[in-house]
Amino acid sequence: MKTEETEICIVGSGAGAGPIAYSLSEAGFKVAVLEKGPWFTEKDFYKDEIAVSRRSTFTPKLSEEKHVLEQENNDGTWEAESTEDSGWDFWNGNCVGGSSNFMTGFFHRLKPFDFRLRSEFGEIKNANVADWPIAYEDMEPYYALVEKLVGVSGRVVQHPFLEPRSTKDFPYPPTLEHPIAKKIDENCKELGLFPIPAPRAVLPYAAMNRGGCSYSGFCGSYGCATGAKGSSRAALLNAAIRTGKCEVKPNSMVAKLISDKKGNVVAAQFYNEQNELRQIRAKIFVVACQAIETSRLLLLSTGEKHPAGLGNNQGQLGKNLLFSAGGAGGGDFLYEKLSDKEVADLKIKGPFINRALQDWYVIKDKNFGDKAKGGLVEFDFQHPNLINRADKLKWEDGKLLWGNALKKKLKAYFTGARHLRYEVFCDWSPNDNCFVSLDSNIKDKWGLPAAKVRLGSHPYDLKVGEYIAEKVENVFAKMGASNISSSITPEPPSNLMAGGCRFGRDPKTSVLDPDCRVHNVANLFVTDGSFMPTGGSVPYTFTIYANSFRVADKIRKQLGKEPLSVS
Amino acid sequence: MKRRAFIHQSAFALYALSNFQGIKFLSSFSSDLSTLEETNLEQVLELFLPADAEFPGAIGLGAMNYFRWVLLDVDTPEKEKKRIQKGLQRLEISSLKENSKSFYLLTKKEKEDFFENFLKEEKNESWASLVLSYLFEASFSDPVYSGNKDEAAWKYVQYQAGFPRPPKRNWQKR
Repeated sequence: MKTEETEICIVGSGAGAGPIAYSLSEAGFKVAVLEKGPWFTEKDFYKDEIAVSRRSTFTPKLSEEKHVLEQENNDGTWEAESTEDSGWDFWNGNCVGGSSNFMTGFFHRLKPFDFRLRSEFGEIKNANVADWPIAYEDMEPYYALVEKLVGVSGRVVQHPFLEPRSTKDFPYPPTLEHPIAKKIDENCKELGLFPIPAPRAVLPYAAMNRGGCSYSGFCGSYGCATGAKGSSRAALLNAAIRTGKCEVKPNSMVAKLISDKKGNVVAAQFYNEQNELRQIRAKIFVVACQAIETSRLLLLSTGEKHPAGLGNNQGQLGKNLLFSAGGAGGGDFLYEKLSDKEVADLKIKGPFINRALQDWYVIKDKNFGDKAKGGLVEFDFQHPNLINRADKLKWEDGKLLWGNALKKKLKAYFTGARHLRYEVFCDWSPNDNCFVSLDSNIKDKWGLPAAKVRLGSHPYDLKVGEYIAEKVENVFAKMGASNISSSITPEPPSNLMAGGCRFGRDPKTSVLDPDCRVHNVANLFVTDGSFMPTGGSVPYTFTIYANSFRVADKIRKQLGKEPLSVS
Repeated sequence: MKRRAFIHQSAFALYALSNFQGIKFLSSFSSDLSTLEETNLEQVLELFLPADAEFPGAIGLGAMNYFRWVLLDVDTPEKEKKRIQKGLQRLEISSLKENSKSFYLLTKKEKEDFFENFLKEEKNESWASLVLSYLFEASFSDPVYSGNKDEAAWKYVQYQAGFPRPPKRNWQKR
């Protein structure tokens, strides 16, 4: 087998990988990044709904690479179905930069108490809530580093849930804001709430060899054509490549990590673009291919010292998988009820709303006992994707609409109102029915067992989501919205995943040590969201970036280098 | 760096860079549908989104060009291609049974009445839903995909396209 040599081998190229590549190549180490998917750049990212949302352009075909999803029946049994059959796609961007290319870019920090959820809020029955082995203070310098290097725009304002900060403000001012932000502010304040400017990983102007935002209005799900969005590719990998020490190898599917008699990893075996099996040897290996696939790769990587997979000697690997609980809702602002000026304002496309509510990040309500962990609310307009929205309008009262009735509905929906949405992000309580294993029958196109994912949620999370949704509906009513509705479901959002390799001090209950090194494997680290014992109530990407920079410093120390210093 | 090599082999190259081989190319190739099936499909599409003073209708939008491509495209699931074709076959057989003539020969009123009844069967309604999903793609996608002629469907719903738009590329120059 043809074998290559490097010093740092990273599997995956998304948010967990970029900081390692950036920091270790800056330190002078030879870095290889193995990415399963192709390498797209800004020139390839068109606003093209067919390519982005209707076909598997940035993700594998489900006929070639599938997951097996287990859902609970009413009688308590679990039923498995291949995603090829269900069409429920759990891939989120298999290309250089990973799913960070396609994120919306809400960048909220976790709160100090998110690091000690169990101590702060107590146990939840039938949930495996655990404190993190590190504190907010350990992560804070890296949040600040990410804000600078990835480029976070926003405005810090004082509010009851503001996290302690080592910097006064974000390094970039907010992106342009839509007029409705003012309306949200006014109405929320009248309700006694604290609307806050939502920080985003989007550059408002050109900086760091990247363009500024062009305000096309298609952030979520779409790759950024200017480089303004802080994807791992645009913000970190390109910089790592410029050091001359980092090589990104697209179309390289890692099949197995090979370990030696001591249990340390010595090589990664991967299929290249020509489907030839190759091997790369390194001093340090870092796995960051998103929670499900990271657990899958480690489960596949059996060895003499790791008969059940790397990091699985205590049977913890793949356990306590997390998604984001909560849901979404919204309301219509009907043009017929508004003045010409208000309609003209509402029709503006491009600028961001950039508003969030953290008023229910902690719930103080007798129905939740003394206090309970709540969540974050983000406001956004409905995504401009036209085909997907039209397709949802074709049914009415269980009957298919067609002809003039359909046209009339389309016309009214698209030209008679603007739909404002909200999203609730809550903790997904880790539990024994949410985990990754290997399917014994279904294989991918390389003949490797597919990941089997049990998708058990906790009823407590639904209760929290519904509580917050009810509060947000009051905000929409105050704003004068019509057709207000909410959908809080136990179904996991496939784009917000973490856990499976939780970190902790005790090898019996965790996969990684506090430095995100696999217990008893000196040279193997995991730096995507897999490390999280609990996920917090914000989108994960910001914390994944920050933690990855933290782990990069641990690796630098292990290799005799000073921590990354950015002037 | 083999960027050119991979980009031409990727699905993205198919979708975004090639202009879907252009309208001329599409109209010069046929799908696996028979001429009768194609003709009936076109009439179904027009029933779904009929023309009026404000809207050119499915035929006017060039939706059939898009369907010819979808029915040839390797990324369209084979089972969906077959479902579309089998539904058209059921449509024709039902029309012959009920009206003693092909679907496309029915008057507009006859088509509407027949179709209303045809959709009462769950299998047929499910088929129509699938066809409608592709019709929305034909109508509301960027015109480089060969439907949505003159952006007429976008204008109808006052849609503002994002930018950059997928590139136009002349098929003959490729």
